[in-house]
Amino acid sequence: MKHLSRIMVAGMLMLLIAALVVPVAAQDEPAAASGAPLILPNFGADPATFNPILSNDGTSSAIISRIFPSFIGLDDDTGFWAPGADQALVTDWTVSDDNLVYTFTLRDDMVWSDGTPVTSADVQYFWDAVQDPTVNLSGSFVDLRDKIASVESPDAHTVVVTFNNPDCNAIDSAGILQVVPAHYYSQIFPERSDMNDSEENLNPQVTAGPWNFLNFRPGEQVTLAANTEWVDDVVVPQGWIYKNVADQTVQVEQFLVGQLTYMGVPTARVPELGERVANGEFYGHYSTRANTRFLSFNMADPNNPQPAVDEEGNHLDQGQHPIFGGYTADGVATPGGLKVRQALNYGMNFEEINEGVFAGLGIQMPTHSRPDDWAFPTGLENYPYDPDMANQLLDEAGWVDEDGDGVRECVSCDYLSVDPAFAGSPLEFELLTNAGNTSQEALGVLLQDQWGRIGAKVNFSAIDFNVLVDDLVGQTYDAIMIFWGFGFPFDPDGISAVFATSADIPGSGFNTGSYYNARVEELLDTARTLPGCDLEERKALYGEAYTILHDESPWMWIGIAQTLAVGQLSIEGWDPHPQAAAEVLWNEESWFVAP
Amino acid sequence: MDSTSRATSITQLGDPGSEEAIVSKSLFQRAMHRLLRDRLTMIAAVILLILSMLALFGPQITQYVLRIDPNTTDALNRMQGIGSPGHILGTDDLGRDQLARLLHAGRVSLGIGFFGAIISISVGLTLGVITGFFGGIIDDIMNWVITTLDSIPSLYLLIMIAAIFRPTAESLIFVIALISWTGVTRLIRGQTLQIRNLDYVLSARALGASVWRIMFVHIAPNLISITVIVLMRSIGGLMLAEAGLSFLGFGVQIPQATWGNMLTDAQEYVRAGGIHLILPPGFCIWITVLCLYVIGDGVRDAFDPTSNK
Amino acid sequence: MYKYVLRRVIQAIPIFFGITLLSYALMANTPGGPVAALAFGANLKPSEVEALKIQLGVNDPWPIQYLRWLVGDDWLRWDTDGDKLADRSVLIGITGPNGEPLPPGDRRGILRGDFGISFVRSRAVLPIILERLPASIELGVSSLVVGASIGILVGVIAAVYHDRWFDHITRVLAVVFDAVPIFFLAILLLLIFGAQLQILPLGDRCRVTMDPSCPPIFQRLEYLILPTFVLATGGISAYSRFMRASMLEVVSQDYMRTARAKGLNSRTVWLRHGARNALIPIATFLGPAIAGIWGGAVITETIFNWPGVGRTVVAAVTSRDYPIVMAATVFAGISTILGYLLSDILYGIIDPRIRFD
Repeated sequence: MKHLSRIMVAGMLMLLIAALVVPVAAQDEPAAASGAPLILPNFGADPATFNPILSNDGTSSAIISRIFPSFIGLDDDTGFWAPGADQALVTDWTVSDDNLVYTFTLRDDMVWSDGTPVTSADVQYFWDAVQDPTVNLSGSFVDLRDKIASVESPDAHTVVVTFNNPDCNAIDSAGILQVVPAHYYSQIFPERSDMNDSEENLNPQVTAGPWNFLNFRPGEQVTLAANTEWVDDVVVPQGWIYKNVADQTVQVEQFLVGQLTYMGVPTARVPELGERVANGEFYGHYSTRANTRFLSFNMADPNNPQPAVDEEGNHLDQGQHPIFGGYTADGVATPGGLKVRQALNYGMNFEEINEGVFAGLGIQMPTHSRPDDWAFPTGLENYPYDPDMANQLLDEAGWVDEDGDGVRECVSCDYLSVDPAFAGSPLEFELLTNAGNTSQEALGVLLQDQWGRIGAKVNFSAIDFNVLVDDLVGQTYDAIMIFWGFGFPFDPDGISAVFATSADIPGSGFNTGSYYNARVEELLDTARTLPGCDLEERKALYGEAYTILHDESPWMWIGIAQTLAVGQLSIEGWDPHPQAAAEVLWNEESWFVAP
Repeated sequence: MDSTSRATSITQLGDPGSEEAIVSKSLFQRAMHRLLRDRLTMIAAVILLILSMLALFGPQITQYVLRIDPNTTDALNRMQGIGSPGHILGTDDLGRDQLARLLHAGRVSLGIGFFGAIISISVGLTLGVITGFFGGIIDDIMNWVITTLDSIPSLYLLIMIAAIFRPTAESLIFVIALISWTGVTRLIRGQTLQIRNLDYVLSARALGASVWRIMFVHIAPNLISITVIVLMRSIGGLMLAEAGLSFLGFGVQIPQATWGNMLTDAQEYVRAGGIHLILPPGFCIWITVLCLYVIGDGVRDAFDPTSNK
Repeated sequence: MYKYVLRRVIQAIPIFFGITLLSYALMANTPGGPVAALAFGANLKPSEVEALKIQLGVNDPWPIQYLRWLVGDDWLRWDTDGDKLADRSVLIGITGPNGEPLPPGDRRGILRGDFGISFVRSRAVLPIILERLPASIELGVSSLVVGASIGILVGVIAAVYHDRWFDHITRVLAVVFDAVPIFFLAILLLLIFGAQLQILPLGDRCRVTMDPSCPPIFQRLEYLILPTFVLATGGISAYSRFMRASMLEVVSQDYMRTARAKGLNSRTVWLRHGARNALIPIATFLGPAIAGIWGGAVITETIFNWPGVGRTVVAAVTSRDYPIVMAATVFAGISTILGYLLSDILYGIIDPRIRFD
């Protein structure tokens, strides 16, 4: 007994000394792999693969981005592709006069974790895989087959990418080329198609990044260890753990008791945790790097979805939507449908939505690009909340509540020219969104109620994502509300796929609402292929296209919800970049958390 | 005492022929007498009755008494606590009145439990009596179907079936009835088998009573108590299943409120000023199911000849 | 006995087919198949979407899909001239959307031990299930044991003190936890014991470290307490109520009165005769209890962040990953069938009146 207490006293003394000494020691530049591992929760499933060629899901990508180099990196300040960024391979590039050929110079000091240098062969392997039909290529790269004509590597540190067409956004396509360990992959995958379902994908032994893969515990976590020989920075934490937490309430509680180092905050907890951040209990970082919420109106007959053009390129009659209008057989836009779509915009009370759905952190959006993106048209304003205007537009469109039940009926609406028997039909449509996302569900409930106040009966339901996608892409819906990230860095060209005639194919295209405007297509085409790619000129072209889209409202852009990320005060070196999203806090490799 | 009462009941049951209707009536009367003296069961019954009335007339109460629509939002007055002006139980994350929603939701939740149980018990009774009585190939096939269904965890089956339908209250009744009839059938089949082989039924058959007469006059009355017990437990079980499905995202979807989805939605606010959102629906489900279970147990005890209350 | 077991195993074969047929039919007829979501966002052309359907094998009618899952497709589409492209086929197509030849089928089907490839995760299904099975078994077995032992104990005591306060209390207590939605109970317990009092862990299977796996189970028992209890509530309530009823029935029977009349100590009578006989109905519960545990684990695993099979199933149903759902159903189904079988054998061992013939 006496013995035991002596040991305890000694132990406590040592702890005391350690407590005094350790903080002093930590004042200096922390050594590599000296801090406690960082623990980030992942709300969702296990990663499917650590093979960049195959990865389709966010969890996998989050880990891949930490253990594989990127081809081109982003500039810290502008958020643009830039030469010589950390953890990126490209140090410089030149563009041919015709804008078709990009010649990239690669750095020569980066090595894979087995000591082999990272070279152009590693990009070449990726490109070969993209072209190989036997590889189950990730959906993110399918586009490249159309855009890029060839990728060549004349020497170990040069990559030449030739595009099919001049494209001012070509660098966005080149930027997503992946760097994979060619020497290792050709050894473990004798045939390229062997990688499709190989278990080796989950055990990446050869990587190049600030972290090395350590282990994967299914349903629990993925663990990365600090790469102490990493060329770009000193990696301070011992490791980085991506921990599976299936329930959001539990995730927040785990953070609050200190089991998680940092995390993105679920919307319901933002007000509370935001306050605690303000009180100095945690570090906080608000980010606008979030998905745009939008609502797509179907502007064709949902009961008979047709492609916009036939195989010879002739326009087909797609019918029109009884409420949201569309185009007559000769392609003339119906005026009443436009008024209904605009009225619904005026009938949205964003102040309420911001309070009820976005915890006050929402930003209303007039178009899909954010005010701080370069292509955002100066002076484009949001639709204000104006119920009088909304009522007036609906009256003008021929929707009047004659029987006093609070729901408008078609008295002289456009659709009577298609079907005279439609007279007296109520202004009633189905609004769908994906189930399981509480903020989307809340958004739908609010819109339903707000539009009820201007006499529209909305049947809102939240359905399974797979069913929703079937309805959306199959073009059988009235209105669907989802969210969409347009990538980072911002690609203004993302929009052309969504509103192009060529993308209006039931079953596969993205122009699901069958919007058609020749001027918009011309503007987007010109902006993409403009000789010289002058940014100001392109901004003007995009600006005009965005303004038309805003006025004609085939989509209703609702807004984005800023996200809040919080970190424990035990982190030394918390310094998130303004552009950083909640899950990637920029400089986490240099954080020090006392072990 | 135990054994005496049991012996009596067996003699009574053993009387052949026409008198057994009277016998079972007296058994029924004795059970009712016991039931009325069982204070716990009576309290549960009263609570359940009040809750059912509130739920049944929920829409009328919200419309004429509270004068609030359960789906009217007021996001600028969200998350008001209990007793806030105009909102007795406060408001939820979108400023909807919690009491109005609770009343409307109760109607749906109880409805799902009640109608789901009625359907599954009707199916179970019919199939159970038929298979138990006739046996043979029907029994074998039914046994195969039931064992198959019972060998898939019910929640797996539920989410697979629920995924097929757009989740509305009506489809959910169908979904949960579809998987819950097997237990009832099994039970009824066993009971029927037992009764079929009792002396008085055998003698009735020997006397040439028709199959239908035996099924309805001799067997059916003896299944009343077990049916009541199963009904009570099924309603409760199905209400819990509704809540569980809501949690997994396969339940009745918003904006239609049910106690289950209110509880699920409130879950993320439980530590963010939403205690008033999670406790009422949680309490409603709990007290309803508890009452149903207690009543079920009470009925079983009352009908159980070995019980000496 | 062996004959009986053998016969029961043979009887289980049609049940296995019933389970898999039903599950496959349900999954394959669910709206919004796997392809739409996989192709969504990838900007695929119609022919590429079609090719994806063929690659996953979901373009065929569901009975053929089921057949392929059951016995593979290496005999449905095969190669005779060794160019690694199929030139013969039965029941299924031989060319892709643009008429190009397809590779021969390479799946062998579940009857030959091939559980297939996950639609969503580009991995074989079997390892996905197997790597999560230990956690599921750990939680499932501990819940079964805890549920049965507490339930039986409470039931016996309630019967012994029949109509006294313990009986009344247990009658309510047995259903108090059972009447709470399982996720609500789980969240409440987690918030009270994990977040507020901080005496039990906030979910997880073990402490987060950089180690490749959790330490042995006896070093992390505290992580099992809450999920086991939540998952066992159904069992506790069912077992205790059943036990109480059957004990009451047994003690009213003649041989018990005889035993007491012989002057045997009443506790001995209760335990030796009563409990032993009352165990019979308990044994029959094993089959359903195993099925119940598989189902209940889905929610429990989600909230307690337990890395078991249940969570995977929900995600797989949502993403229409048929092969994973099917594999999990097969594992759950087989263990339930075994549970039923074990029940019957136990039944015979406990009750000598039953003979296996």
